[in-house]
Amino acid sequence: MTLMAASAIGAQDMKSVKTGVYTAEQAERGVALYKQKCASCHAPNRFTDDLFYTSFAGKPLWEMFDVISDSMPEDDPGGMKPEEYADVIAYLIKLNGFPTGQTELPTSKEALSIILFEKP
Amino acid sequence: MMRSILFATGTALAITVGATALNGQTPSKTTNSGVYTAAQAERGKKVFEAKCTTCHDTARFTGDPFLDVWDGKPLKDVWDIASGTMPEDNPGSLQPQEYGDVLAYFLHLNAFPAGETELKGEAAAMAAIKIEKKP
Repeated sequence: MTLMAASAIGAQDMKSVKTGVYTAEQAERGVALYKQKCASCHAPNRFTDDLFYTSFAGKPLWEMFDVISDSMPEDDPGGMKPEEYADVIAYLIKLNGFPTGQTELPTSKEALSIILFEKP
Repeated sequence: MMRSILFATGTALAITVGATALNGQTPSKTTNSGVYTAAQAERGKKVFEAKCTTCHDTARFTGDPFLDVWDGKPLKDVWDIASGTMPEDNPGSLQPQEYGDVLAYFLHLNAFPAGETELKGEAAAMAAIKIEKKP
């Protein structure tokens, strides 16, 4: 019973990428950055395949942000601004067909830890 | 009922023991033990140049940027990422031995000594070798 109550609170705090967690404008900025910084190595379909879902589906967006902002771009890991990484991830969320919303995808660990990425 | 529970428990135990035996494999050699050959590293260099250099510079796999991440870990950790996710446009598409050759090339890049025996392109062989920065 206690356990159920605890997980109910946890579930309440989490939201899904299905609920509009980025803006259309942000994803537009993201696609421009993607073309400039990512497309030389990464085809967009790499972010809608099973390998991608194995890594990130069912996990907080913070994990995706952490990996990408830590390791990319390959020739300058961590070389982009936090807002730029968030813009690129907004584009990746859009690639997966999730809806836009009224607020931009944030950059903080706290905020990204309560947004769940899902397999569409 | 009891019998099926016993059976299930026995199976679970066998699986657990089996998994422990595999996961608990302690690397018996290090990258300083001469675990690849010079000829193999040459082959690996060719594969790397054909398949990897579009995105990856060798600097990324040489010295501190590489060893600070992997020092003390089994070579299998690198193997899993390379063979599981690369090349980016077709993950896992190289022959197992080609991945092994590329890893041999990485060892060469880091000035680990070559030896008489090739590094086998298989997970179990990789698990038996610990990456060890030279003292």
